[in-house]
Amino acid sequence: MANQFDTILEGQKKALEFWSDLSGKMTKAFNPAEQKPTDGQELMIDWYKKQQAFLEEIIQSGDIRQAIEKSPEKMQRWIALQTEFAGKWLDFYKENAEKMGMKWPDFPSKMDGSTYFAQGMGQWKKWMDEGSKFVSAQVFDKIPFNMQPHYSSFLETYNNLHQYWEPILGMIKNGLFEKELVERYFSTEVYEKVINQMMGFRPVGNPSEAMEQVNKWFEAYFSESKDRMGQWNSIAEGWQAKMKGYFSKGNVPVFEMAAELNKQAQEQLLPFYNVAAQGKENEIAKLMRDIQFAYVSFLLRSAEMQSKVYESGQFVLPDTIKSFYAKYKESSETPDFQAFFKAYVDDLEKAMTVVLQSDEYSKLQSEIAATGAQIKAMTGKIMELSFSDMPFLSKSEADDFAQETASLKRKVRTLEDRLAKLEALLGNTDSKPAAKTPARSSRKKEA
Amino acid sequence: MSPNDQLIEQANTASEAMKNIMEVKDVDIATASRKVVWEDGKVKLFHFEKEATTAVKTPVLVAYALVNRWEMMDLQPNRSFIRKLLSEGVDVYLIDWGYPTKVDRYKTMEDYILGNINDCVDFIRTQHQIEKVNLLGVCQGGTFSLIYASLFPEKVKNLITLVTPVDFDNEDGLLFKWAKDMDVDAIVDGFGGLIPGDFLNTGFDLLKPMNKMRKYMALPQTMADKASLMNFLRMEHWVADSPAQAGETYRRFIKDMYQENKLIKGEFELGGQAVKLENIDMPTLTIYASEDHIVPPDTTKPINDLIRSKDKELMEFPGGHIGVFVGSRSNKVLTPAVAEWLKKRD
Repeated sequence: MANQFDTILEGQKKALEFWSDLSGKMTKAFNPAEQKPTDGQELMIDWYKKQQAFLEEIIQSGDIRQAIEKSPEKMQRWIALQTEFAGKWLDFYKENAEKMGMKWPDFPSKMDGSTYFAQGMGQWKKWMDEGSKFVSAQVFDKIPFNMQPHYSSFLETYNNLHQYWEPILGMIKNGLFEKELVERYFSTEVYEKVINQMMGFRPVGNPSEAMEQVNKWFEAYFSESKDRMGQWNSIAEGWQAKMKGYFSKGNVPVFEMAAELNKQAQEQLLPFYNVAAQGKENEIAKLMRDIQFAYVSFLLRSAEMQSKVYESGQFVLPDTIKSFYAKYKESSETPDFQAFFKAYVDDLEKAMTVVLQSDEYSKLQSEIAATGAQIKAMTGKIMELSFSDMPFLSKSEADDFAQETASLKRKVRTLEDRLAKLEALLGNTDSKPAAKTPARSSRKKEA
Repeated sequence: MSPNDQLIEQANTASEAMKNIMEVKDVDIATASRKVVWEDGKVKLFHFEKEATTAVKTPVLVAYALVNRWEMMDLQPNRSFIRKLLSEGVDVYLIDWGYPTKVDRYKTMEDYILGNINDCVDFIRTQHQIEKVNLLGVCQGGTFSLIYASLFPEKVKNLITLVTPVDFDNEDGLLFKWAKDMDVDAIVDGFGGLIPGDFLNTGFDLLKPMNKMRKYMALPQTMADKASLMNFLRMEHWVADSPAQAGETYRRFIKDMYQENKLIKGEFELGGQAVKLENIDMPTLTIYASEDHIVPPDTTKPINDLIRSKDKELMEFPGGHIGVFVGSRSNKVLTPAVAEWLKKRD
């Protein structure tokens, strides 16, 4: 975290240096010792002095980091100082610079008032950007792990849309809100990217291309695995070799011995594996084919669902621009990005909700979820089959344990109930198990 | 606002936000003192420490939903449904369902209701030497409580349901619509019998797809205020802490409730017994939230038409599903009203 904080301080330091250096150059340019100060010069000298005093105050307060951290009002004062000056200076420059025949030391001739202002603001923006990054990092650090992707998506969406703020602002001010015109700046690709970020979609892209790639991958797999049909022990051998290699590096005799014993056993059992292998390989091959078809269906359905969501919001941006234009026309107040982004998000949700409520979407979503879950299950089954002769407990085997446990628990409960009824009949009222485990204290959340 | 003022405000907000977030060391939720007084496997029964003179003698047993965690009811000291009940002199017990794993995939609604809830009720009855307890069910836990109260009316003194669905034939709520089309067998089997919490959260997120955007958009302002920042972080931790669901219970709940609406039709059976809501004859308080998009009011309101209780009340809470527990109105108005309702029927 210290490094991230250093980054923001670095940005600020640069901004301070920029202003400080420039003020020095300007003061020299006017050289009050040789020339009688004018109003404009007094403004700059006053600003320079104020800034010097301010910097001295900051420095005297000790660690700059601490000073900024503890006293945000200092930053506020500093910003006020800069912005107030920048405004006054620009006015002054427009009125007097040419008349005075001012020359700017160490600056290119194209450096005019607006460039000067832009450069200053550029530093400020950089400072704010760095600050924003720092704050985001702090947020990432404090929110739970599985919420972080959501926050990332938000940042990406926000930044992505922010890049288009200038042309959008131009459209708002000029009343340009035709869909085709908006799309010249904010293309379909960009729009879909924003939606993907907002909704957490993994874009399918071009369905035909995606299908082609998937089929190509599966066909390559089948072609390669065809050569290995009837040689089921190849997987086991590969695993043996890896295990032996891995453990022998660590010089762990017991594992070497285990690997050797496994090898012996495998050789002894080879005839059996050759018999069993055929079934497993066929089963795996069949599952792979099923996955291939299911995956293609999953892609097509996903593309269909995504396109429905894309379509639902395609008029929202032009409409939001239109509504902001109406407000601008009335008040002439330039809207800020935050307000625009909020309105866009709200309108987008309204448009999307219409689609989300449709029967078609509901059925598509259900189909995609089911297909996705089936693919997951089939992939798991393949893993089980591939590792079935390894010394691991498979998911299916663990599942058997779970089933047995659940069944036993139910039997225990039935017996407990019967016992309770029997004891009640015998007059023992304290018949129910009071506590299955001793009581204990807990102030914090239990694990 | 002039550009200068905007810049100054931004800088001020950013500075405060930075200062506040850097000061956060730990995000603590559910801090009300409590003891585990009973447990069976992953399920625990908490008994909260009293914070005031007992005003309601009959203890209240809280049955939360299997979705998400009960900590929402004790999010932070000044926004805690549990603490407020305690401060009103209510004796509170709560069932913590724990975090199901693959070993729980065959855990059924019978195991939860006839097993866990009934065991907890019996434990409290034995400990307090009483015949009946007060039962307060939340959301899905409310549906479980209705089923329990139908089967064991002799053990329930008063029944309170909070934002509880009972009529699942509803198309206002997206969740209800989507659940009807869901191929729940494919989902349960595909996930190997354990429905991941993230899968459920994705569904909840899609109900209001831009909520996350709005939440993070307001973050600079939220962070500039220490209390709001802590509230935000606690909510983030609560949302993220989403337990998986036991597959068989999930399968049955979706099929029998969302898809076939069996409870309201009187067709639902549990452990071979027919569940008839008209068996509920104890005083019943039904609380729904007017802006609830997860359990819309229309899915809750019919409760009062279906039960036999003479003493029954519908209470509207102005807010959303979560606001019932963490909204400022919850602490000021709702929880005291619940305590008062219980006091009158103790």
